[in-house]
Amino acid sequence: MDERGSGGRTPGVECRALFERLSEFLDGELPAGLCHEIERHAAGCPPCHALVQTLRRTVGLCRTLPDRPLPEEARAAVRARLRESFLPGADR
Amino acid sequence: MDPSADRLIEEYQGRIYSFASRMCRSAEDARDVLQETFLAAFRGLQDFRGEAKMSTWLFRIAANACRKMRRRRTYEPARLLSIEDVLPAPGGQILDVADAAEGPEAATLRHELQAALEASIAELPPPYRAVLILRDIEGLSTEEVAEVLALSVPNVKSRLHRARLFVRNAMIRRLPGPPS
Repeated sequence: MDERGSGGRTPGVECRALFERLSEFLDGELPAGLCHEIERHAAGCPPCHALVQTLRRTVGLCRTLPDRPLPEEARAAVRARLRESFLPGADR
Repeated sequence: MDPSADRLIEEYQGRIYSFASRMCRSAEDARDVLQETFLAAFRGLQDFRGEAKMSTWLFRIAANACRKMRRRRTYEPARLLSIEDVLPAPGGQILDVADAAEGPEAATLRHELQAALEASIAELPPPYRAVLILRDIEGLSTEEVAEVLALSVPNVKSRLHRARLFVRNAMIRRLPGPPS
């Protein structure tokens, strides 16, 4: 990423390859050789290194995000709706 | 209610509500999607052959219900993310909870990070939001996400990558920079 964002020049080829394959890299979906190349490039390219770190943390945070709490009223409403649809009159 | 139906609801209602709540960005719509999902599931239960996981099947019904809800309510356009939306913002960092000391400081940081993440995910256009929630929050495999959303595997991977980059940029915008 050494050239990205500096006066509109084209990003370096290695930076672009890393940028395009980064999610597959983080998900362990790339061949070992390509992973090694990405790691080697990121180790010597501070902007790419920062991108790898921040994207890894973003994905890590998503994976530990707790469920939104289910309100008691929504829990009761789903059962009431099902009873009403499948067992009409059961509540009467 | 039939005990097996009760178990099915008990097992999945939390995840379905959570997914719907993030997709619809409204507690009221999420509650409606939850009801529509289980209603459709019980009506179509005889069609469920067990080739898909129960969770995948329920998420597919819920995702369709969210799409219908979006059309009914304030229309939220399914815009495509441009390359400018996802090019890495220069600089910035995302703190890790592990960077903070244990105790109240870590709890506060965790809360701030989660709030920033929720707000960043809510900014994503719906087709990308669905992929990111299912893959990175709900933990479905790429193939399962493709099945839920009726997309090809390469399309899921492409949307996921753009969604992650977008959220990463949005997080950096929201979070304070490194201490100087």
